[in-house]
Amino acid sequence: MYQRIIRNDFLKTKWVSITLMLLILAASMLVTLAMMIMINLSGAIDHLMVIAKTPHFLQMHTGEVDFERMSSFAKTREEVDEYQILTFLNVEGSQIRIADQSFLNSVQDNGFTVQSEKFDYLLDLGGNRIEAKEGELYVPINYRKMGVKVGDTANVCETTLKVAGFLRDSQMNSPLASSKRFLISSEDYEQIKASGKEEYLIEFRLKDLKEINSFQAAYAKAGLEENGPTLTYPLFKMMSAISDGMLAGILIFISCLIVLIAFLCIRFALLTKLEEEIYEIGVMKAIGLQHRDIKMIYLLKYTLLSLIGCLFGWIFAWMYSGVLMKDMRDNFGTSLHAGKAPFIGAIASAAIFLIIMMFVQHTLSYLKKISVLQALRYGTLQTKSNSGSCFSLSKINRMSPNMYLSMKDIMMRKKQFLTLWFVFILATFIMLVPQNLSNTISSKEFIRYMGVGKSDIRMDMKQSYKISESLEIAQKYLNEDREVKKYVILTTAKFKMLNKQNEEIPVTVEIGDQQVFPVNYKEGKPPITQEEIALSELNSKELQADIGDQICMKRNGTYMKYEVCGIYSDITNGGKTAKLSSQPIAYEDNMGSILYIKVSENAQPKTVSKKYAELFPDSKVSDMKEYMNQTFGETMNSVAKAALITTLVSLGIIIFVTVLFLNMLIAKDGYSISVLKAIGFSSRDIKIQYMFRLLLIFIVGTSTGLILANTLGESAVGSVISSFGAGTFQFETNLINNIMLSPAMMLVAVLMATLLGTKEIENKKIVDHIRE
Amino acid sequence: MNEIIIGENITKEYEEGSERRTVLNEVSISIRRGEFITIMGPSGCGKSTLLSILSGLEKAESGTIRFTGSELGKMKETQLSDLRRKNMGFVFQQPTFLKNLNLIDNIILPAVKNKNKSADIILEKARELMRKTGISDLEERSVTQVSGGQLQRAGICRALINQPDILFGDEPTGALNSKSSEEVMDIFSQVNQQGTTVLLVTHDAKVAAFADKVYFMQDGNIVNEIALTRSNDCSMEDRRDAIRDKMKILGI
Ligand SMILES: Nc1ncnc2c1ncn2[C@@H]1O[C@H](COP(=O)(O)OP(=O)(O)OP(=O)(O)O)[C@@H](O)[C@H]1O
Ligand SMILES: [Mg+2]
Repeated sequence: MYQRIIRNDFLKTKWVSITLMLLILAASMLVTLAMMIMINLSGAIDHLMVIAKTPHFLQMHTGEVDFERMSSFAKTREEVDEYQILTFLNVEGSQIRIADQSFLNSVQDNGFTVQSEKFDYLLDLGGNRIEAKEGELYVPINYRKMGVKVGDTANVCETTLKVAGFLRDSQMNSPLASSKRFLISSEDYEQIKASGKEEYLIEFRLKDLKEINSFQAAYAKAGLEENGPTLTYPLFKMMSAISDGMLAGILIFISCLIVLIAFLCIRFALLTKLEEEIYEIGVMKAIGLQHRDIKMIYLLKYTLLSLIGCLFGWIFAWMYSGVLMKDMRDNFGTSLHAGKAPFIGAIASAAIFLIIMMFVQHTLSYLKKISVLQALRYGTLQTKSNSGSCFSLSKINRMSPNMYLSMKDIMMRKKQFLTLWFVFILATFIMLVPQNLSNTISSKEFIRYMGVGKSDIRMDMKQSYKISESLEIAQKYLNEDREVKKYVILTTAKFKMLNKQNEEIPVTVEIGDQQVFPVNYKEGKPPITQEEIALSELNSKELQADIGDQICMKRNGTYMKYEVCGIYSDITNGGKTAKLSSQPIAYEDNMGSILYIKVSENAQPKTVSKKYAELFPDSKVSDMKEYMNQTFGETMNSVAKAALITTLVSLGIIIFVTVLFLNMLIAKDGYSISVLKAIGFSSRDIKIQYMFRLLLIFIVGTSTGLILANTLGESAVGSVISSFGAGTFQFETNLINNIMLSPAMMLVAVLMATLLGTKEIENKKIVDHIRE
Repeated sequence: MNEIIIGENITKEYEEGSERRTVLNEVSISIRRGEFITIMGPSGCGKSTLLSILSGLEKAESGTIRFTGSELGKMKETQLSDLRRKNMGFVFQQPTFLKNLNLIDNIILPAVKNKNKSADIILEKARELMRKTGISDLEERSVTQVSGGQLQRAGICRALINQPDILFGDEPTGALNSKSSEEVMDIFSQVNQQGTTVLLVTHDAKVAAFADKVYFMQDGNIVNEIALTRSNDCSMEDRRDAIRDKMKILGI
């Protein structure tokens, strides 16, 4: 019997059933995809880091290295497994040319290196350790996007090489990493050695990665070489994961919301169906069918729908995961868990199926409440009769009956309309959160979250015997240059701070006027007096220091006290930094200077930066826009792409769900529609009523969604971003987009869907329903 | 011009599977202003169909229907519903109400839609009608909380709220016992005496006896009619018997 009932029901509500199934399918597919990407991403990164034997601790250093002292340090520390010192030949971008591409504009530190002996291997795309022969050049995989091809001829410092292939670098793959390593043979290295500046990579692998923190402290305490950034294994991993992780994150976020929407639609469909079939349910109960049997009829249908939806969702996800993960495979190679991913995806799909089943069961418990008498006699579920009787037409003056009937209906069917309201909130959320995120990341202000002030040009001057001279010349130029509006010189130094346990912790400190291009302060203000210090958020956490606290810093061999005046977000230099106001620094502490320049209104940052690059060939001058593009471009692109996709998804959902809801409502409301038509309401009036209902719910829904997206959504995204070290995250919202464009698009979608969905009203014959 | 409705050569067909079945076959009928007319005939002969077509609830395949001179077939849907709401009243066999609304709201709904009267006047009118039909204490009740007879009276109140030119009734007393049935018919007579044209479909000769004229239908045609005089020397019983005799002759 069930079979026949279900088949009939299916045929009767073909479209609604198919729509629901597609929704379940989409939900299951997206969740599965997101899971697979997540697993593959982390698997691929892990795999790459395992086979490349990525160092656990890396100290970059410019200047002399005391090899003997280093090796005796490594021997005394028993947590050290292996250690090595690599060289990295930093070469000016202008000296590198591949085919007809110049690296002049590259903001990366491009350097050449030979394959290492013990660990930190540079791998080919098959995951094998590369042995470069004489004349061969291996190029970082990122540059493949620039158009570099295997077989191209490369000119590096007057030496001609041939591009023999691409390489994966487990620590510097990410565009966020500031350096890129090219691999050449040791013969070629010797040849170009004189044309670049050699830097050292002091690398350690520990027996147990867990000891990284204590090792880092020990290294700092030992007073070893440390003129350069310190990087650790977790940081490499984070940098590798960020841009694909962002995509996966958005995908997971969206798929969770779509799962929710699917649930809501099922709930709505069930409630409407029960209301529509109340009479039949009454009859079934009256002839003695058990509550369990009746429930089975509905349950079976949804079991079938969700089973098909989840199954195909999983299959599609499996089929399409390859396309989505192509970029990821390029960057990181195949995943360690590639085989496991489909199974984990299957588990995700199965979980969705089970949750839907539980949810349907729960909604169906409503059946118990139906009284046979009520159902048979009046065909209504209303147990509380006349709820909201104060809202009576006879008591309200001056309200159009169309409006009144709409409002009354909403009041009487709160459950259904609440469901729709929720769907609109979620759709707004889906649209706005990725949009806001994309907008924030690509905004000019975003750089301030990263611990860099907002300026047009950045000029790096590495520490050298003649730096003070160069600075003086630069200052003179800048003061006189009409194209420069303002500038600041910030000097970087590496000091040691004492934490609560009185351990010394190395901190990169920026010294100079912090008010010219302020970074984003989570609390407090930039340092102004000589006794004030601002800490990065990660640093303040590590030191357990708050605003107003005193901290001790070792400068030039002596301890000095500072008062914490501000806490800012920063992801540069591993996120543990501090800022001081301008004050003299000892030569030994000085690690170099950075000049930030803002050009005047009528000047072009690009031309000005070119001018200074020519004036100061020893320093690295970059246009900040270019810098952002090259370091964050990939992340920005993937987020922008995701935002576009989610906008379309959101509009699709709105249209889909609105039509679905209207279809179900109108099917159910056939009787009322006939009554209205019979007493002289036109199809137009009735359409207006449905439109009014939907628009009202839509407006309330989107406004709620708008508010939530900018509060809840912001803090949700913020908590993810802050785990990377950027403290207070705030959406940089595009107001026009937020309150005009996006709602307008949604409004158009709703209107279109309503016009489409209410078309059926015209076809409703009055007589069909009235003459039962 | 005395005719309020003129229907000419109305044909209506329904599709049944692949076959077309003629339900009304070139029916012509004209009703004059102020008349009280009933239509009788066996079940399934097309009475309800004719009524819905005359009142514009449904469309005919061919033929013309003129309401006070204007042709229904040429009207737009909005015009048609305006016409129905302002100039016609309906009482259906089955109660047709919005379940969300209480009794009085259901009754005043068509009047509020008209927008030409103030709420107070409408309410007053509704209360007067409800008093006349004996349901004045049920104003606030939900439609699920009153009896079938009470609901039918409410239907009449709703049909009359806009003071229509013509009142249609499709077996308005079909669900009522004889006492309620008589009370309802008294209301129809009163309304008719105040000038409203009344067109009723009924099976009951006692009900039909209230009319000035009875049309008899069979298989989609009007086959006969009988005019009844309303003089004092002709009692209701006599009229009823006259109708019954005619029905016997026609074999209904
Ligand atoms: N929507 C429809 N589709 C097909 N046939 C229909 C439809 N509505 C009515 N009919 C048929 O048209 C014929 C006339 O129906 P109608 O309702 O007018 O009869 P009636 O005279 O009012 O009968 P009753 O006295 O039982 O109410 C019937 O045979 C009926 O089966
Ligand atoms: Mg009938």
